[in-house]
Amino acid sequence: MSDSCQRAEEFIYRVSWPARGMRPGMHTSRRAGMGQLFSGYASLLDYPDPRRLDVRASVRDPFGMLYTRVYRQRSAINVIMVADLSASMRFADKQRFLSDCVAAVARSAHGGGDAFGFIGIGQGSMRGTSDDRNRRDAFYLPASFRRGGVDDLLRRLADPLPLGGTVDDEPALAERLPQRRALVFLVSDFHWPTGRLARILAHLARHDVVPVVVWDAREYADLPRRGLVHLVDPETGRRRTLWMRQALAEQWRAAYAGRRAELTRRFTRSGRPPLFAGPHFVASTFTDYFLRTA
Amino acid sequence: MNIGVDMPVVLLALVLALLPWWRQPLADSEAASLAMLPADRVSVLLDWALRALASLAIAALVFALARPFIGAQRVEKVARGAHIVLTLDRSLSMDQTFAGRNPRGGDASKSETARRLLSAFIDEREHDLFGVVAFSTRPMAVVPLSDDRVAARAAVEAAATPGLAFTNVAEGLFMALSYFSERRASASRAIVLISDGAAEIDFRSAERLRAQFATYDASLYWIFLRTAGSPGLFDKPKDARNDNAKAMPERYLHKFFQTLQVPYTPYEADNPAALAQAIADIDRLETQPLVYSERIPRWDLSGWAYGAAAVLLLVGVFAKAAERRLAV
Repeated sequence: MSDSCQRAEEFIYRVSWPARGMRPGMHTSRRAGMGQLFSGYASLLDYPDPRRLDVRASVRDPFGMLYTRVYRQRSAINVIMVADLSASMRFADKQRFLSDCVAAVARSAHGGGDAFGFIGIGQGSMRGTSDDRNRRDAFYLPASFRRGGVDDLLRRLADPLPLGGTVDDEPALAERLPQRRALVFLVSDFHWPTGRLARILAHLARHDVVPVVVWDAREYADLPRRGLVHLVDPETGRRRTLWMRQALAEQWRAAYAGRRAELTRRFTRSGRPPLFAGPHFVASTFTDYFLRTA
Repeated sequence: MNIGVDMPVVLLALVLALLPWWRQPLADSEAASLAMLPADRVSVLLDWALRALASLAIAALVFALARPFIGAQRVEKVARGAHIVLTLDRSLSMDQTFAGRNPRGGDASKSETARRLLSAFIDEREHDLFGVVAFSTRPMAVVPLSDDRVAARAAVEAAATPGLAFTNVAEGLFMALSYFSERRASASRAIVLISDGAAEIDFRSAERLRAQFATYDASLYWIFLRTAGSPGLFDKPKDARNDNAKAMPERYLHKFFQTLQVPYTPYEADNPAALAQAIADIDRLETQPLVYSERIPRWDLSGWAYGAAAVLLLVGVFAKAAERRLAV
């Protein structure tokens, strides 16, 4: 494991749904196996494990059948991080947050015996289809228990994200998501065009989605008091000149507050409330989040 | 009002005025997302105004570089009056009084009196064109025929400064006549010769004068400022031997003028009152309608264009000074 992963803080997560993976892990599972959780009795013929032979149950049976105790094993799950790599994530320290988050999620997942995968979405496009595909591949790490791929990924995430608009890459996301229910960290600032959020959530419907909203106070709270601000949108390249003043700053903050309320409503309805993680990655906020919600 | 430019090629650069509509000279702040920002009508208007100002500033600069002017033009003016060339004798004797002395105390010299009365004359005749020629040994073109009263009066004022040497009437008249050559004959023309003496005119000059007076059809007024005791225009010498041009140039010049084919009026003024009377006469005689065209010199506009650009750019500088960036 790399230095950055070594240094990354771990957080504790848990899921409320039963894991289905074969591989033993940390999460409650329905799968019978080597575990502590008693699930029932089975005939010795069905479940031929004489170590688990239950004498009391066998004696109690009038037909003299031999019973073994069946336990549930704890299974591993897939932890997938779906990260928004659109140009809006260039703002301030968001990209830094992203790599810290990748390192921490990967370390926490691998530490808990789970598989970690990464899918980058929304990268700036040069409108070249084959190139798009390559670049998407560069930011795709299939769910795996191996720890090696994360280092390469972190190295690639250290480069500034390219400018440019997002192409319609939701089908690609759908292809890359695992079949089995997974814990998905959806990390983005959610500055998305209308409809994109709904489409992505539709693709993620099968999974347990933890929406991580990355906002920086500098984009809505620490605004210049007065003066002219000339803004460029990193994705569309559009420019706007704003005359900053008290009233506009309040409207600006109100717009973000409204968006925050809308996102909360949206995500809560689809499963989990969003996790508003400030400009810097702090692992304990993630632990707190799981303690509060799971 | 026709506006022109010296270098029309430069106007091609007016295309640059479109630049502000493409980019503003403000430092970019990369925002997270513009779609999140509230719509702000004031900002939109301000943005539009700044772009328009910048556009205008560039246009003004380009316009200034092309050296604009309001074109020289001719204006046809109709007036009652005449083209009058004042032909002033600047010989030394003009600085003396009518009594033939150097002025002392309250005395006025002949040139001083002439100056005062002519200034008043010029001021009164609003619609005349005045030219001024001074002459002594050589003629001097002082002010060409124009309706610029200030210049004409200044020229007459200048005639009050101490004079030069001799009197060369013929040369002065030639120059006065030459003034008419540049003007259409739309008005009555008059030459007012003011002198206190005369000199012999040689035969060749006399013939040329005769011809030119006929050509330009200019009437002649001679105001002879007679010094007390000196021979007048109309005096006959007592001694027949003195009856020649050398001895009595005034008499012979007068006789020569009478032979011209144009109206000629002599005035003999031996005191300021007589001079005033003579001028009043001319004033009465020379009042024919007068059509003349006047050139209005072109007026350079580049200073104004630069000024406008400077003001507009100053606004731009203020806008630039008010520029803030997002704290990233």
